[in-house]
Amino acid sequence: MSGGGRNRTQEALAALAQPNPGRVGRPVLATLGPGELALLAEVGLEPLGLVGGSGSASWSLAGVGSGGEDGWTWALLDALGAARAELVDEASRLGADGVASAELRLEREPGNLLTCQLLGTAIRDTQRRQPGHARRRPAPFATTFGPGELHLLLRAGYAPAALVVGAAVAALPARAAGQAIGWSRSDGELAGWTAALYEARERAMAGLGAEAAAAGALGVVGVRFEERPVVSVMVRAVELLVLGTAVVRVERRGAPLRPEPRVPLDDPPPEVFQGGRRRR
Amino acid sequence: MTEPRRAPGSRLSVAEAAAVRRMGLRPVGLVLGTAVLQVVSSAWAGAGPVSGSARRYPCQHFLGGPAEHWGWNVEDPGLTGSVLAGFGLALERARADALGMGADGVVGLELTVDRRVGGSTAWTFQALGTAVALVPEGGDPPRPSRTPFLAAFSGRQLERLLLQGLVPVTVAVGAGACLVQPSCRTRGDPTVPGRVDQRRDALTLVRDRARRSLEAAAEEAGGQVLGITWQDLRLPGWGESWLQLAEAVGTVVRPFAAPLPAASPTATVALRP
Repeated sequence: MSGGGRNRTQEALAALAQPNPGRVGRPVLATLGPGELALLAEVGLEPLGLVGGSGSASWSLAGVGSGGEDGWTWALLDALGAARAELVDEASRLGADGVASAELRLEREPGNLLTCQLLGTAIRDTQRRQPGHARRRPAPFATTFGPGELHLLLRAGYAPAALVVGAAVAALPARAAGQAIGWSRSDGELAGWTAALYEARERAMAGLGAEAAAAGALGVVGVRFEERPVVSVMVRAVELLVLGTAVVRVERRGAPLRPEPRVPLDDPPPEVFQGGRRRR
Repeated sequence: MTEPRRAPGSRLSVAEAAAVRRMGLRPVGLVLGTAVLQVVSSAWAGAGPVSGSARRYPCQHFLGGPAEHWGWNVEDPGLTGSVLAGFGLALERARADALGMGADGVVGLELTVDRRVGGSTAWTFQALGTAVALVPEGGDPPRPSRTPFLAAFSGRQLERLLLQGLVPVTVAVGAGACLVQPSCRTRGDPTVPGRVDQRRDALTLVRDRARRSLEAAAEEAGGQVLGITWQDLRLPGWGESWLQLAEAVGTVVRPFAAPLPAASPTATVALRP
């Protein structure tokens, strides 16, 4: 048993037995754990509070497949944009410099309604307040990165600039009746569908890139794709959402980063059975 | 004949137990706090008395329409109170269990709600964790009577917390509930597409209320809340209406000493096959 650890615990328990010291000001709420708190502190960041934003929009399904998907894309971007704007606004009101661990929750309802929510922890840059760093505060950034990734990013000399999004809807053209019911005797690429997916992905990525450029970013990292096929009597489409963190170059913080290759000895046990069949 | 010695139960993994032991603590048993509550909600009790925030959302159709196309959001403080009371009882019973074992605290506390037993209005709140106690040594001075701490953190997180000069005090619960009677647009009526303010407002309201109850718990314990986990639920009400519920759980911590200097973490590239 570590004597130092025991003494620390004894000290903590003795402090706990003392009367409540009371608190001045608003208490800090954070999704972060103790280890994450230490990682943030090392690169000069501290949590300020729990922040969130939500947005919801619906669209008309009529016209999808004949150029009518614009309203759909608008609704996706509007819901995401409203959630992001509220998240950043709440962080700004707390006097934060950014939001870490922004978690996106999507709730899709009867085919033509998307509700999204972003929840994260507002953080303050403690080094910005020091003399020599004083300058006009820009709008808080948001990132899906947790403290671990944020810590590495700052040590590598990059900082998040904004949470950027893109969206598009691929309207899939109708197939021949035989193909649709599975009676086709010949296989082959559905070129129209492939092209529609390519085109939609490019549009979504172009939107993401445009937002990153507007934020003055060097690039976008941690890009996440969300795809959803929507098939009904009226519609055959694939909805695409893209989300990532736009980053900029900054002065390195903390100790220099020199990654070391390691062989972990805690491999999980191999899965013997998968899908009812024994793996070889 | 002597009674066989009871082995203490523990939910800690080997690594968690090792971390707890490094801090001079040992597991003394499993604690369980349970409370089954008849929960109260305006959604199930019909249009009963409600208080708090309320807002209407008009029909979006050009010619207007019957009242059924209107929607409204009404805050449900009754359900919020029931959720907070249920978790509060479960936590207090877990704490009493730990006190009975002579424990100094409870780690890895997990809170659950079972909404299946007894239909939709009887909810079972449970708090399950591992009680830990400081291993006594010969020269230890007697400690004052104490209330065991409660922490949702695991053993390793507790170790990091103590090294950072923070001690867990209790587990804080936040809750917020809102009854949503959807308007035509909120129902997803494809003839009136657009921004759905009603859904956004319901989420914002329950999030705000849950945050307020977390803040109140933090203020009462004189600390800050870390490790918050969050869940949003949509429970069916009458007809098309539903209850938007937010539940949040975190650990209230308080500073007791200056943090110990920690070595800068080493970045590694795992060569796992």
